[in-house]
Amino acid sequence: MKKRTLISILLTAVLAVSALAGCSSKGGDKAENGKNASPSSDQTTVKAFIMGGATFPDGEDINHNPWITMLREETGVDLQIQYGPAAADEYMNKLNLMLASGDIPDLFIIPSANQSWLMDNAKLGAIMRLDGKLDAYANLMNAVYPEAWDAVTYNGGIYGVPVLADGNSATDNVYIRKDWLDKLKLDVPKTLDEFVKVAKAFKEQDPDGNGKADTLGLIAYDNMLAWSSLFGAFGVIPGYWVEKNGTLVPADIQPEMKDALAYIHQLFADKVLDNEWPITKKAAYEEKVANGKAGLYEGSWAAARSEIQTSRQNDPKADWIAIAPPVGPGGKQGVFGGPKYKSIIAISSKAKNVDAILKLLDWQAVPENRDKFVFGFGQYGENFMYTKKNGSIELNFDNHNKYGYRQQLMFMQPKELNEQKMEALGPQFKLNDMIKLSIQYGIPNAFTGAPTPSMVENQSALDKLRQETFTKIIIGELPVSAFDDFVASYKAKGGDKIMKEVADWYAEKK
Amino acid sequence: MKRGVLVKGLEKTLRADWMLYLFLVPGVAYFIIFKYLPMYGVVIAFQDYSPFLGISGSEFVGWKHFARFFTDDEFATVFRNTLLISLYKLVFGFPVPILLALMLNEVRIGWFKKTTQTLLYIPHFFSWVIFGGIVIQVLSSTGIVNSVLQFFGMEPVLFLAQKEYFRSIIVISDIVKESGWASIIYLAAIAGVDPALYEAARMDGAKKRHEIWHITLPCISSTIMILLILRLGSILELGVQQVFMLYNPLVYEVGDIIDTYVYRVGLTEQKYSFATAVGLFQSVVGLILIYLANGLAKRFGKGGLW
Repeated sequence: MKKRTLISILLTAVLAVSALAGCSSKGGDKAENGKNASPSSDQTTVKAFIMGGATFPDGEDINHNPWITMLREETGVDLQIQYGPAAADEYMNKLNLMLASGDIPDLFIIPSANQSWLMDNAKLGAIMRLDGKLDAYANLMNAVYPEAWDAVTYNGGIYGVPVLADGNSATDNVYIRKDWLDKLKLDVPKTLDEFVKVAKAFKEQDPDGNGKADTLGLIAYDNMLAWSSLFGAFGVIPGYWVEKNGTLVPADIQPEMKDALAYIHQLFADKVLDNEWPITKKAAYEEKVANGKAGLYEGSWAAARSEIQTSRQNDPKADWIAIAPPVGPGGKQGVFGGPKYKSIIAISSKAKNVDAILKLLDWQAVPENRDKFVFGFGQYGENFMYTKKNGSIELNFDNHNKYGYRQQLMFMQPKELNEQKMEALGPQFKLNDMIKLSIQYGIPNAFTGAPTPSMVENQSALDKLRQETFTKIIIGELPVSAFDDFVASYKAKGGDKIMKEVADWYAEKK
Repeated sequence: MKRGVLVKGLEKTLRADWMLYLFLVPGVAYFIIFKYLPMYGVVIAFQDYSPFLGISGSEFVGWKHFARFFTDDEFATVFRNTLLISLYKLVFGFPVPILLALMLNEVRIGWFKKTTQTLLYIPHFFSWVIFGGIVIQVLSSTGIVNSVLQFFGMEPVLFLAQKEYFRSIIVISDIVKESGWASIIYLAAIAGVDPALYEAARMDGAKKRHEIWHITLPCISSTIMILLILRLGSILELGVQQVFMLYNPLVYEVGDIIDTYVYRVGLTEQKYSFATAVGLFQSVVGLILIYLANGLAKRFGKGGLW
């Protein structure tokens, strides 16, 4: 009995102590970081905060591995990384906490979705203004599309370095099953009407030959941007801005959008468009491709390595090809264009080592240096990370995945597409062609600036109104004429103010 | 003099039951550190809060965010939807765990009871992302419900796209997911009922239904009342997950609730102050309701929380 009470007391004490320890763990982290500091004292230390999530081989971590050692040796900058949460919103929360608590990293990476965060913090003086400081770094400047600077410009000053995605600004392609076309003796469709004819045939003429009417025509899901080629045939992309009469206007309220909705509504009424689309989520949409129910759809440039690959595994006969988006009645065509950046490197206004940071980024912006992070180097290079076969390079996927973290240490992305890498991921996927095709038909968003004050205030309500109205028009719950009411309330609910601000931005930019 | 006695009394109880007080320490520390100390954070509901400037540095704007919420076009819709869905959940969902507990309590076959309980508890441990996915699948045009309808020669219905079904789907799926888990507390309460009462009733010739009606239910009525009062306190807080998972533009009118609205307007746009203001409003309404319900419970002699 006595013994048991003693144990319970001990347990209670342990609980109490651990509850308190939870609050002070932050101090522990700091001590740990201090210990990690590199022994050589002549190097400039740069503290970076990046998103985490990678796994590491035994004995390595984000601050102790061949790549960061190489980076330190090559650039003379002692990069010390604080590894954050893997999810973007948690990462941003942590960053906010760090800023609020005064434990401010020199360099941090902001996802493009948090662009307004950058603006808010630039306004507060938390972010280093970079214009004037960048000109000396030619490689860095060359890695950024000129229009991408708009996104990091606040009050005329530049507050970050926009970084491109792996696939440059590629987004979607339209894919079709060649084997189904051949079976039904149809040609690759070019115009919108031909697309609809093919979709109808795919739905009604049993292209998979199983004797059941279980195939679909056109498929879509609740995010309209993801089947943008139907809108692109009318030259408008939901949520985007287009140039008209020398100024910018929202595509959502243009007469072309009304035409697009009327056309898509007809597809729905004729049952060519999958009638389940408003309640379909992305995963279910891709599943329809993977399990051979759909033979014509819009998907990511990398689809060949995801749902299309699954489709091929399920059905070796499935012969998917990427084709140009449909040409609409007015001769327009395209898919939504991607932004010219996927994230932003920001530097704290309190950083004392701006030149060292920019030097580091400049070094990373050189394509040959980037290759060291993709294909490895020295003993981690040939025959380890990749093998050469008949002149082409093949990634060794075991080591490529095992050392996947290495690409997180590569903050920059040169403008030149890394064709060698895309090829090395598997030439059968034709990723280079997929990227080029998508970029060729991308209809860019003409507004590239940071969110205006009225956007911050009203955009979410306007987006909801659009989503609700467009969905109802397409499924016929509202007549197409309801579009005009939508335009009126769009303008009244802040749309007019936003248009004024965007027009000012555009005038100033020109 | 009196004070001296009090201190002495405290000293005495502390010495006698020090171990019990020690057990209390982690709980009290938890509430102070994680519940009471963060409360000063509600200040940001009255500021244009910026994480960089912190609470001391952010500009004070008074009722601005509350005014914006109450004058927003969407306020009436989301408030009505929240209240309706919450009331439906209360009216139809609250009694279910009690019934389940009463039924489970009467099951005499051990393995059957255990299996049923486990099956009932499992959905609670799924997140809404998964459970919502199951609901979507079940109700899809090729799902089990529509297969049955088609078997009987009826046209398939896209339930989730219909305004008239949406709230029912929300309420029913919530009942399916959470009732089993919620019945645990009632089972525990039932287990605490003195068996002598049942024996005495049986001697007097009471049937099973008499036992349930005249012994079990009255004995657990204070538990039911406490849970009901607590439930009223969160009447405006439905949680964002379930509705967010299941709704779509076609049912915004009937399905958009305060939590999804705050998610859209407050968090994706990082308007911390606005989100806090709405959260504070929800809590204040909850607190008022708890007070009212507690007062009523006491008036009708059912105890209450305090």
